[in-house]
Amino acid sequence: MDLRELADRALKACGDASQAEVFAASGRTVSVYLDDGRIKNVEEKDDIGISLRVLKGRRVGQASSTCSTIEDAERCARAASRLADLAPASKSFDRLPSPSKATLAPNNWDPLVAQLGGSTLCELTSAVAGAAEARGVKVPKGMIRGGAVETLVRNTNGVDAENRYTAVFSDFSSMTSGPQPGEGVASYTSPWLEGLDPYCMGASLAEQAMAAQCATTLPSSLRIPVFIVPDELGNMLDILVGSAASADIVQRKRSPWAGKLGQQVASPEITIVDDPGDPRAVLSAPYDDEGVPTAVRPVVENGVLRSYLYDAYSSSVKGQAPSGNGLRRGPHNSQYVFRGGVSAGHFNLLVSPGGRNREQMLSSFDRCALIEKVSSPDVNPVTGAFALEVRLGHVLEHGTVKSSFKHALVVGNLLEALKSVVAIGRDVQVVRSTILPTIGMEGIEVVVG
Amino acid sequence: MRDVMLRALERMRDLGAEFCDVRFQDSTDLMIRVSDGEVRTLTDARLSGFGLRARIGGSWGYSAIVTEDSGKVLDAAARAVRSARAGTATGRPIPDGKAMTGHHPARVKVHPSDVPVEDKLSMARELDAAQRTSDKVVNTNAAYVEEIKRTAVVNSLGADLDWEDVRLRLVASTVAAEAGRREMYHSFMDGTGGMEVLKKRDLHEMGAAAAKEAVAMLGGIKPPSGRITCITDPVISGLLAHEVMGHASEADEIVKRRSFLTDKVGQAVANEQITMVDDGSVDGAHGSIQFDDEGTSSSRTVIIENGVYRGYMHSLETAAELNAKPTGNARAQDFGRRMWVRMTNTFFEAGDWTLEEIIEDVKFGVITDSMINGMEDPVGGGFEAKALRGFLVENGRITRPVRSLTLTGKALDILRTTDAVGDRVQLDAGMCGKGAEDWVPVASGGPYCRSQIIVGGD
Repeated sequence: MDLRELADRALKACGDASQAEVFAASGRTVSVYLDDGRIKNVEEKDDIGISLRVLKGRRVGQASSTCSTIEDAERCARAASRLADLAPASKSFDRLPSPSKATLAPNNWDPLVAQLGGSTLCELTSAVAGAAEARGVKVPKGMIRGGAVETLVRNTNGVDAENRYTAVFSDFSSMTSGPQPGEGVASYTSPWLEGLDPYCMGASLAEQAMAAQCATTLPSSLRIPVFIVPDELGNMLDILVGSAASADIVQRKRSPWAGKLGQQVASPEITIVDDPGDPRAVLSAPYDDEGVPTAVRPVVENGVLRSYLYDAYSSSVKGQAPSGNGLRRGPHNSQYVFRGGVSAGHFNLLVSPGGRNREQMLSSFDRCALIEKVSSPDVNPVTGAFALEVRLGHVLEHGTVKSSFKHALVVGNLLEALKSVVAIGRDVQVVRSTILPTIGMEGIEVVVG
Repeated sequence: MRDVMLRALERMRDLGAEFCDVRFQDSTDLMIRVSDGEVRTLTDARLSGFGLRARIGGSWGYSAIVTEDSGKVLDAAARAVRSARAGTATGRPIPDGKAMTGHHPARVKVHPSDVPVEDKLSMARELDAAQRTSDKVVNTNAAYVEEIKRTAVVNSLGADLDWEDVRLRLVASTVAAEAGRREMYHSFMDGTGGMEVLKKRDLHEMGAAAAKEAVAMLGGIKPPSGRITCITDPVISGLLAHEVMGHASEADEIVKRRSFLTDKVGQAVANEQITMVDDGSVDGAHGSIQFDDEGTSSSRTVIIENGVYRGYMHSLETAAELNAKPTGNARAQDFGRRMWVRMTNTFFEAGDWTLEEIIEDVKFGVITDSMINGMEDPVGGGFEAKALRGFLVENGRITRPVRSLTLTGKALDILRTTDAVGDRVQLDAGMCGKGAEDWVPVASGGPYCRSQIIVGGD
């Protein structure tokens, strides 16, 4: 049973639909989990399924299903068709995309990952733990996962787009011993296995845990330039810029960037493009998940908002062609990829780096703070506000660490902070669906009790 | 189906599994999303397949497969055993216990599958429309989410059962805007059970309430910063119970000594007014389950009793490791994901203060209202909760609304400062991840509690 056969049979089973689209996906996922320094779980998983979108005029029904048999695909199509009968008509959405030729051809398929077995991941996982343990820090929890995904989009207008990619995701936490242990974390997201250096990751885990153990509570709150490392800022930008630039969110007036095209929304040093052609990114693809060719798209150029990102639905509201930003997939997951609904989003937000490495950049400031780890790096996508518990931060003078701290809140508004950028590093890192360096901003407060 | 499962179990035993189980799951979700009067999503989503686990020493091999071919299920069984042999963890054998059997239908009065989709669509549309109460409302959203999950489990200790869980949720979410500012507020109605779950609240009132509060939030001021008197509402009290004390009481964290509560049983960890439980058997609550994913009945576990730490939540494995009874807390997102020790409904029990009494002593502080999210810290025992909004409390009176604020501090320090515990418990539904994935439905809650907490926000 292959994806094309499933897709063909599903489209044929859509009955009296005026248009229909099938997104079929199969995934193979191998994971290894480490508990308390030892290999605890080894997992191998296979899945296959489809998602159908059926239009009857402007009435839209959707269904998805795992597919053990061809009949499952046909049943799924009939379910979507029945729901389309029940749906009220959309105000604007009446057309699925038409076929068009791709211009980007990213290669983010790693044959090593596609053929991965548990033993390779066991070796890597043990090596990460070993490198940390060699420095006297234990690794109580960790995971490396490799996934290979193949997708096919077909619709009754003639769209027929295949894509395949691999995804490696790892996430480890370390801790020192003693009554007040320090914790470190490290993660890795990439299509490629070879970039995962277990010795560097283990060393970083150890270094972070030891620094966190020695960190203390700040004597008083701080209002100085604050730098946030890519690991944390990437997640925040993924949420904020990803949401603010989504045409769907803009049209629902939830976006803080609604109505701001052509306006200054960030410092002139900030340029962000959505680049679906970058081979470093898991989600890169020649076509989006609706079969529309993808393109490199400037989102913010020298601080000016240049474009929103459209899927087929939001482009119908605007009365224009989709921009190739209909996405169903996430960068960390290779299981049941067919289940996600389509939304207007980004593939890979690339923040232009600065010219200096992190050390050079930090040493040019009399006094600044570097936030290395927060509890959960998120931000309110409607307002831009954030207040995050710092689990490891440093106060630096002329680039030298004067003290390390934890148990503080870093408080600010990322929309405003992006307008007050004081420096951008060149230490770029892939984090979720972003590639970015360390960035320093003003207007952020570090609050203590 | 059962025959294939038993044969797969036999295959794993023959190949050397010391413990093994086979799970078949078939879940159907109906999701309806309405935004600004337009039905944006009307989706039926089905997920069906086998999850197989083999344990050798202390290591597990997992395989998961989507198939109806019995030969492929047997191959997956062999793969699970092979994978288990690749592990290096040691552990105690899982002992015989009470093996559950039988067929257990969902406890529902009106099963959602007996109600036409049109009726559900009408509910979502009514909830969306009810939010259009003011010119300041710029975006309305309503969602109806229905999950019907059937699970069958057989294991090498004799468990042989199947059951059904039904879970429903209605959400209203409004965005209001004025003079360049945007604020959002939401209302929920949810639980396990049939359509009767969604009769607890009038839809028009629920939608209008979300809109009213979103508009009110436009007048919110920047929250105060620093360590102040904080009255946590039942939702934020629940986050403290869940994120810090709950995650750190999941026994897999104890076994690997990653929890700050390791070796704390019998010690005073909180003010004596504090009692906290995890209870998967609460009737109709969002986190309630008939059985966990290993087929153990759900139960009530006392974690803190009158300030004294009492114990942990367990899976079959952690119960074996710590010589305890399984508590029905082994849960997985679905048949293809890892089983972990997870919470169900986690909450502080009621004290004897009325809300008015809690407020009247406060010279300056905040009272929280609802949450955005929280984050666990089993290693450090740190607490982080993002409240959706709050109100200033000045000289014993609630005065002005404040915007979203974050609460933080060491959980045990906070609980030691808790000097007033309210007399009414409310539960709040949510989805809980272990780290940033493996989501399971839960509820958390408690009464209003008064403590000293570091707060901040923009």
